[in-house]
Amino acid sequence: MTAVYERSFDWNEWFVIIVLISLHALMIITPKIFSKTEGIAHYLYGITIVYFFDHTLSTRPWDFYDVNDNSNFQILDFLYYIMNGPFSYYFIYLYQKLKIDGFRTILYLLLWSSLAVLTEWVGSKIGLFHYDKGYNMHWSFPIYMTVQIIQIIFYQKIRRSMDHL
Amino acid sequence: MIGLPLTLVIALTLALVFYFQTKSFNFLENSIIYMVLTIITTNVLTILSLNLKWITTTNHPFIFPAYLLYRDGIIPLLVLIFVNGFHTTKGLRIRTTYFFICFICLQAMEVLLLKYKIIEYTKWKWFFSFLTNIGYLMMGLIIAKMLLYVVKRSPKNDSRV
Repeated sequence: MTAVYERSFDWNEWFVIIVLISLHALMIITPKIFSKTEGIAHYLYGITIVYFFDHTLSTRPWDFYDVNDNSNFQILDFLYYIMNGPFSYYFIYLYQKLKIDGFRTILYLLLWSSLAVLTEWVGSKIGLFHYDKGYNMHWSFPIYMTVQIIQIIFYQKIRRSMDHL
Repeated sequence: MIGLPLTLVIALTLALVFYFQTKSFNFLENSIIYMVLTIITTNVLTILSLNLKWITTTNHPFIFPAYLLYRDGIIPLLVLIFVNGFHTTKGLRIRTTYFFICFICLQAMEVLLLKYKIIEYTKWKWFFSFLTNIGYLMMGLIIAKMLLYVVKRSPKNDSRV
């Protein structure tokens, strides 16, 4: 049974399109600090992770939330997933640029997880997310934090491997 | 209920096969191929189950992780094993053998998922499943080719990043 929340082209659609275009434009103009493959990997990481969680938690049997106007998979959902690529890219871009290490990593993670929850809160207000079965964004904070920790481990693993060359 | 532990053992075995395999792509490149493949498999399986309703996935919350393992672990790992094996070997016969072994494994996985009712066909057919699995393997080769173009190196360069 497909749940339909709305049919109009409104704020959730514009939010995805504006964020998608502006962050990709920013990626093009900001100075490159990664090799092509490393940049691609960190960009893909965000898309893959959001794909995994959304297509796991928002489908049966769990079905904790829906993305965009209805519970089916739509073109705008696809754009929403692509929109997450620049977030993971900039997460690691700034991590390297600001030379974050040691205890400052904890603060950095908390800040980014808070930013992610804030973005999700805006998304829920404009109809990008529709929660169900008691799920709410409190659960998202530890999920964001976990995937960001994994991304830092991924980044360190790549760096260590490069040093071996 | 045996479907989940069985899928878990298969996923772990494939992960070990991939770990010990001689690779023609480094860690970073294999990660990229893996991520693109999971995006493709997730798209394909979600469209088939959620939008087209050609297959149905289990409603059992404890068996559902087996489907996730299949979608995000087993298919991409089998394709990665195929792609790395394909590029480390020479000759049509050995490459074709690699292809058929991985293809048979993909088909066998689908049989297992159907047997334990992790997925069920509604309008889906075996022939479509044949084509999809061939498509996954071909996609792996295409992604690897594109990646080699981006990094501008030959597939035989066994650099392990």
